[in-house]
Amino acid sequence: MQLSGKILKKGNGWVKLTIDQKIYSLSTIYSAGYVFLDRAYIYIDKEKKDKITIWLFSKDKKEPMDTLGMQFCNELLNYAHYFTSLKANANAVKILMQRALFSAAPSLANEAATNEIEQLIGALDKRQKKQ
Amino acid sequence: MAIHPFLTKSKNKVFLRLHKKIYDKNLIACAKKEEPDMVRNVLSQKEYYLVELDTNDKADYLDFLNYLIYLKRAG
Repeated sequence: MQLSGKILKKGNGWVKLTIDQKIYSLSTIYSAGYVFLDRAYIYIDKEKKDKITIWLFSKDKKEPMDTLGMQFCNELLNYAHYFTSLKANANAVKILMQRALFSAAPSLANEAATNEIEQLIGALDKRQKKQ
Repeated sequence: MAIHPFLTKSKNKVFLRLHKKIYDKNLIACAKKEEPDMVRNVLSQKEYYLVELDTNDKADYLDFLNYLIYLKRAG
């Protein structure tokens, strides 16, 4: 298998993954690790500049190490996608939350509008004073 | 106890070897606070924290590693 040796090394009861931190952030690695707490003992180390090594020591000695390693890779991808989507949708979620809040309490919308107008007037005043 | 990648020996003592950029200062401090009976000593050596645990059992070291991941995610 081509994957073996390049990013995945295995031994008796353990598998070692080497991944690029530019692709998978530390948050992604911790989250994937958290999912695997019941299946393996996890040790994370830093190798070269952007290389992270993840050691998985299987709790079940019968479990094939390739499977454990590759399923961990899938979990990394899963969380990388989750965090990317979260970032991409952050603005849309914020707008939806604001709308939901303003629908529930319309006075909040008036307050927010008043505050925004006051801030704009303040900014204009400052600019006029500078000129 | 056999030496594993996460362990190191110094002055006849065994330490967990934790990279500072992976297992940060706050995490180690939190673990020490939560498990004062388990964490005997923490040393700083170049890019690593060396954590001495009150055990000679490999299983306890492995459990502690998972506990750190749990704390990191929970915190």
